[in-house]
Amino acid sequence: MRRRVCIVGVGMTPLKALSPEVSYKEMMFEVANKAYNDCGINPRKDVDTFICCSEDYIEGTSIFDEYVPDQLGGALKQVHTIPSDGLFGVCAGILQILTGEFKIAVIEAHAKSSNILTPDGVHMCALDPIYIRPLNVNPIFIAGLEYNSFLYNHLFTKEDCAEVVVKNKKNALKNPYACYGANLTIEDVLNSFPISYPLNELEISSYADGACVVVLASEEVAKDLKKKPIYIDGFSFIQGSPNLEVRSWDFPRATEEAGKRAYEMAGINNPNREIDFCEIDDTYSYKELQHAIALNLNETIINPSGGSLGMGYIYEGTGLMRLIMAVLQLRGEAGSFQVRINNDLPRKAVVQSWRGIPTENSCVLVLSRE
Amino acid sequence: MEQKENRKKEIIHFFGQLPVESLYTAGIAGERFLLGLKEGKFLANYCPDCDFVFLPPKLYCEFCFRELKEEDLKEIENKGILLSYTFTHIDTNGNRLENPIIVGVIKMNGTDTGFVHKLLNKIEDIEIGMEVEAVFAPKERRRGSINDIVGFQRID
Repeated sequence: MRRRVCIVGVGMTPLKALSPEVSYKEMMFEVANKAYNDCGINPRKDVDTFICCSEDYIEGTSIFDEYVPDQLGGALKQVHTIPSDGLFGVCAGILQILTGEFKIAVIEAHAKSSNILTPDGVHMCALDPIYIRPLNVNPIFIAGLEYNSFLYNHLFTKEDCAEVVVKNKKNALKNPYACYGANLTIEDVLNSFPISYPLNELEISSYADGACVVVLASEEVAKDLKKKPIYIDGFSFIQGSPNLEVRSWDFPRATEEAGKRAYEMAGINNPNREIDFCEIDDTYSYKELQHAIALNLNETIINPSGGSLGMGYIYEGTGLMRLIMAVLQLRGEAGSFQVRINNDLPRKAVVQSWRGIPTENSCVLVLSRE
Repeated sequence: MEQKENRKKEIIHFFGQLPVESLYTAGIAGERFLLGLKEGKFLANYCPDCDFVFLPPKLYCEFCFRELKEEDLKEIENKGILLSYTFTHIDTNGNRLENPIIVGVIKMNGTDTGFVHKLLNKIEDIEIGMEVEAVFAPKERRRGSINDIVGFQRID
């Protein structure tokens, strides 16, 4: 059997709309400590590689890799950053461990969204500077075009998408890590401000502040650590096209491809039957439906954490926070939002992330417990 | 009491900016395309291996990685079908707009791509599948930019 990499430790802050009392470094230090305590390791002695997922524009600091080692216990150790969603960092950590040269990897991602005074500016600068940016339209138009095409080409209605918001915000009320839980009706969603038709304000995940750390270990090392390991049975990270003109506007091709590869690696033939629950991207309401179809997970329990719609959106930390939610579920540590399948703890889960507009990428992990 | 005092302390933060300015090179295919717009023409190119026509044109096919030839650029007609549209009620700073901006994806006849640009019709006159054409800026105001096209409008 192929060697597997395990998740052995997790640490996360409850998400907040504002966090003026702490710097991002202090936030990272806090969650790193939680994660190291969770698995009983000393980062100065035991960790072989540190990977942070961060984007200079979002941090407001260029060459940001310089700023990450010390608060993780990684000074003068092997550290690098990846400017993408946290799950891409997890995949990099898995690959490093699979070389056999690294035993323990630490993955970190965070956001101090409340410090970003011009979030639309970050997305504007992500648009093609020759063909798209000069149109001078808020980049949210890309989500509007996708959403409209999705409704036109598939058997889903605006109400179906609004229902995703209602469900996720309700799930979030039970999740102490979430900051946007609410009891809403479909009408509340449909009557909220139309940001970019057919996308309404309540269908967009709200920014939050928070940090996440995940510790990975080889199977041999994992068995001697504090908690029972969660196994990564399959993984894939797919990058689509940056060119809007070749996109499929109604279907997330990268997610379908990442799912196929991760399922094949994990030996999953019928995801709807074999997977107990999933944490998949819901940056916008319609995205959850798109990703559920692309991953063949539409009949499973979707986003019991409340997703980004209910928990909050923390940029590159979003995928990592969803992974941590899935790990808590598989360990039976999710407390008030614990999923049970016939009175038993769930055994298999899928976690998927998307880096948001204007990207066409996707990362999928298949997880299991013994 | 001491704790209360502490909480009253100001929370300090500092303001800053990333002052970066750049030039963006259109490239060989991009320049031909943009100069075509200046002439009121759409230039596309074709990958024979994938049977796929790119608009805007590329010097390579992203599906098969074949190099495409600059001399193979062909003019296509100014007519296409609307694949999707949206109307955006916020500006680039997130402020609400009085009049929304309408954006569409257009599959120009003879191409396999979805060209993204503004739509000029009223919202109530727009539907997916309608035939549209580009409206170019007056010739003297064109400068080899995507904004040499003012937008697309319905053909009745």
